[in-house]
Amino acid sequence: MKIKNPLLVLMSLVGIMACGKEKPPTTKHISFYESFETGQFRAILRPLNNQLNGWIPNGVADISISNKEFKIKSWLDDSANVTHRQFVTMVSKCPTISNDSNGDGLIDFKEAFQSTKKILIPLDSDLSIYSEENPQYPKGNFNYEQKIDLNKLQLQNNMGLELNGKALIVLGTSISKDLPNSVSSFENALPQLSIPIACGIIKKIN
Amino acid sequence: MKQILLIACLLFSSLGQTKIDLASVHSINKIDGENYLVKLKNGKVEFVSSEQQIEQFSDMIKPSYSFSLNEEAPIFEPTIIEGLKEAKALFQRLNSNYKRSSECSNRAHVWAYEEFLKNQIKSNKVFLFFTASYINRHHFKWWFHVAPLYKVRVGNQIVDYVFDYMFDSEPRLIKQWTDNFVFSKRSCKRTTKFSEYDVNPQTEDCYLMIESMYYWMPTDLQDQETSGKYKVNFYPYEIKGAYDQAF
Repeated sequence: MKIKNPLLVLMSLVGIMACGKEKPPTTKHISFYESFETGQFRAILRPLNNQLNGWIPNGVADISISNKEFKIKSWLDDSANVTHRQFVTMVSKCPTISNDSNGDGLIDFKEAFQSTKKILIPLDSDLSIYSEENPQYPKGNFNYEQKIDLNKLQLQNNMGLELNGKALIVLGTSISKDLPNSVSSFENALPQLSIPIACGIIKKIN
Repeated sequence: MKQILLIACLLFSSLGQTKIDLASVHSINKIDGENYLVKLKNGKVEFVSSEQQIEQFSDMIKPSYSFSLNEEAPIFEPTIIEGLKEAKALFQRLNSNYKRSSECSNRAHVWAYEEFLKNQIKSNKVFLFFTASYINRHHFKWWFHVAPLYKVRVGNQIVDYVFDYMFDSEPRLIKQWTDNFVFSKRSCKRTTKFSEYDVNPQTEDCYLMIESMYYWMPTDLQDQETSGKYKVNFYPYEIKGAYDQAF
């Protein structure tokens, strides 16, 4: 169902006034002028770069959006006990080995998404603000659950909240894993913590 | 209640730092020296490095096989899916409500069963067995994996496609599917005898066995070989067990 909720106008303005200074200029909250889809969404998180360790990472992310709230509940099974950055992106395809432009046999973040400008929602411990310095993401085999009022949800890169068909990606393998120098880093993180390990396309299920 | 707890305690044996339930062990392979690979019924593996610790499981090491088949193999004809478009549609309607800790054999059984129940489509199962040397080399965490296999008409050919919803986003050719798990990208040797996999752990990385959708676990393949027990039906207790564990 497409909705336009006038209440969000006021709530958005309050949100912008309250915390506008803390945000990078390319972020925003839901505005009155855009529509978004409510309902239940699911992404099956399937492995990428399978050969990185003996476990094949996999998981599921369930997202619900109502007129008032954004809620996500997800899990990932993986043997690497490291921080897993995870993002809802703006791209509509999970990367494949055809994205391996430098031919090192691995798909790194840069090859997969070209730039961080493709991030829509960083799925960390606080969906209302994006902290580049100290983001708190889940670790190891994780269960992740967050909910937030829609007017506080921070969307990156001035994009709207259209989740259906967008890719959700999870990064990070064991830091003891030797990687070729060609593997790129994400925002100064180690290459091991930057490499994509799972991805799923968000689909509306209800 | 106390008796149950006592039995449970007796069944649990400490192997190094890992607690292994005796009832959960499928078989054990010696890798080298004092190193053993314990294969669990759920497909996972544990590494054990002490002969003393393995003693109590000694009767499970290197099982012997007989090859007497007392029945003729039944004919099973899987449904032909008319084209890749239909195959992809089938793939997308597979049940995505599986549990986090679900086992591949249970997921595959429910997926095959539901498609048969709702649409009368008969499929095969493809079992992928990883050899001890491969597991040891890559510290791989499983010794087998299984998924439904469908026959799809592509042009004027009938092609086998694996429907592994948890790990792939669409139907895959068998080699594409095994490449997900076999990092050496070696082809897996096709066999019709479980014993061929079990007694040749060093020469190959993996083996493939294809059976009808009624086959649930590797034990079914062993039973077929050792006692000529062919599976020709879904059994309610197996379906219930698969649902309970996986969905």
